[in-house]
Amino acid sequence: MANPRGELVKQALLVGFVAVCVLLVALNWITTP
Amino acid sequence: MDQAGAPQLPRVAARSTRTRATRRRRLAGAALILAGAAWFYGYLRSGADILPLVGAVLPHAASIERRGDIFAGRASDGSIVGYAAVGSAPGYGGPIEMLVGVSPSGTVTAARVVTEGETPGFFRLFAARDFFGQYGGAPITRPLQLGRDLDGVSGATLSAEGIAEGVRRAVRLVAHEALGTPLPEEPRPVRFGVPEIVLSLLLLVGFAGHRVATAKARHALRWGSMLTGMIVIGFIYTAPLTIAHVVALACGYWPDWHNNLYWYLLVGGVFLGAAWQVRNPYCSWCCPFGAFQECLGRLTNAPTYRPAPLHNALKWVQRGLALVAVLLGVAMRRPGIATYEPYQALFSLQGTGFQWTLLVVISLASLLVRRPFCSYLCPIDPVVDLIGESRRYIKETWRSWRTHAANS
Repeated sequence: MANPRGELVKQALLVGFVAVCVLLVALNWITTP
Repeated sequence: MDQAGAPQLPRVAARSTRTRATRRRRLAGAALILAGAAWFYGYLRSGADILPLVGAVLPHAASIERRGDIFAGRASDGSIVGYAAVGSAPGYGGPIEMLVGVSPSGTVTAARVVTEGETPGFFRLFAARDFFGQYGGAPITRPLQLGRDLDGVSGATLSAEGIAEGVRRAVRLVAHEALGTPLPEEPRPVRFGVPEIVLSLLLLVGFAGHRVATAKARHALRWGSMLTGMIVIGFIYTAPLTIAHVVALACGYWPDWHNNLYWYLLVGGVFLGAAWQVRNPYCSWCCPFGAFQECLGRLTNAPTYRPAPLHNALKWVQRGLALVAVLLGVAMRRPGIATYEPYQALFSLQGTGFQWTLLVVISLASLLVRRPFCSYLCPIDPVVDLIGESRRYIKETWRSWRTHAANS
């Protein structure tokens, strides 16, 4: 049985992962001399 | 209503697919135009003023004068205390320009970097090992080559070779133009060693591996190739494919093929392979970072997770990130700065705090889903996609042009 709430949490985690990584990449670029 | 609506569905789906393909192509075209504009901007602002830096390599000079490609340093009484010149050679992230001072008696006074596009952090390694200190007082008749009379820097081999080559070129220029004692020609043998052999074999496996008949044998071959890639390309040589290669290619920073055959095999094998066969022999087969993520995923049996609409949306984030990396690298003419992949942190234990954090986040995510970096962050995937898309577009245009020509 599909669990819509569980699926939503998984998708939120995935979006959070990508967002954190993009933020880290951007910070790395900004702080590069 | 049902009867009337049912046959239309495929047409609607086909139209939607066509619209998506057209939109993708327009965006790909816009990305190429932006990259072209960034390239032109970088072209206009490249170049450094050398004269103010010469004093650093001729410390006893009271005044500096320029004589063509050579700088002459004079003491306060007017006597010559040394000459300096710039030598350029390809490094990891494009050309490295070295300014070298030479005394009138033919010893190197000092060497310093003028311009470079290396990954940030590389030069900390050189400073820590006192790499440039090896040049002070060295006679110009010495080979000045890594592995002969100079110590290299592990984890930054290409940069070290670029520096050494740049210094040699500058020294040769001074010897020829200022001292009047030209140095003999350097032998330039083609280097084809263990890294080149291993990479060639891995790319061959990547091209032909899908033809292996049984799934079990294919699986074993892929894992063998991935683990070899992770150990050899990753941990031993730390020379994986990065976006810096793409930027260097676009900027025209093509290294000397005699001692950088590896670079050509890697870039040519992957991108020409994608253009010629639409087959990527690298990512799934021998990418060391892909292998690292899969190894972590094996610990927890991490599944492939690609929720349809979200996956497509996140793919655009990945493409955007790759585009920004290329624009940055091309506009600043610094391929190394574009690199955001945390490969150096993992394979050479070198990286900034943000790169280390990124590595930790990706490693944790790899325990939950299969290859999260490859799916949503790696800049190489969009580049290979763009090549495939361009190939399709060219083929379709060519076919329709031929059909049009045949009909008229």
